[in-house]
Amino acid sequence: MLQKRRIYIFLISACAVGYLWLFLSQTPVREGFSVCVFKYMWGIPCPACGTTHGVVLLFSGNFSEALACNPNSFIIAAGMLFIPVCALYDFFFKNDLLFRSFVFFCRIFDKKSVLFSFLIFEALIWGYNLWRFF
Amino acid sequence: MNTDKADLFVVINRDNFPADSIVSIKNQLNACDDSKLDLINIIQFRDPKLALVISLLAGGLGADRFYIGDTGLGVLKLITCGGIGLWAIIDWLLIMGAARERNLRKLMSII
Repeated sequence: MLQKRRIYIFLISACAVGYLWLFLSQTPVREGFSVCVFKYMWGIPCPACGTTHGVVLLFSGNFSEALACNPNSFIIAAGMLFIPVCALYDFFFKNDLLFRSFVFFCRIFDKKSVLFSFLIFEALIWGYNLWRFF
Repeated sequence: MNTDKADLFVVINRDNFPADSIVSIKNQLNACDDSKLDLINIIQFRDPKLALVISLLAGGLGADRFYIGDTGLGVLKLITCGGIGLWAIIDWLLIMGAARERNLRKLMSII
């Protein structure tokens, strides 16, 4: 029960931070500013760099540009739409769909074949990000 | 289990579990039978210090979460740029505790 509550708090706050970040990303920032800890440490982009811009493009209907920015944008945008809708559904209908979906998501990635396929996909995105960077 | 064996296990693996659970682990090991000893000895526990090093070096990629076995959270951390940097930094403080909790859960599933 406690774990379920923690998962709800984690997912809803992560989603809220995501929306806040999307809002903040519309304000002008100094050239070269990044929230990527990996980029600060190693000086190169991580596989997720470009996702914010991709999600913004996606929400404004530019699907191909979003894909070119970072294919992870589609996963993030889907999550950012799914989590609040699901949380509201659970709240009003006293269900636990969000919790079950999260457990299902984790179980899928516990399968080695799925995890390795996903990591290869991310490695390709990373390679593409690095190619654009250099 | 033999008390000496339980003591030896606790001494060797003390750093791999939460400090407040050491006494209870020792008591439970004393209570369980010898047949479980082989199983317990082949479990590979995650080193919290190594988890911290991984978190410091590649936390933004979710590598620390993958290392301790939180695959789902690792995937989320990887695709969100380390939770837009925040989660990666918070995990520098949390990852050792998370690794110990994970080890405890693994041990308890066998005892």
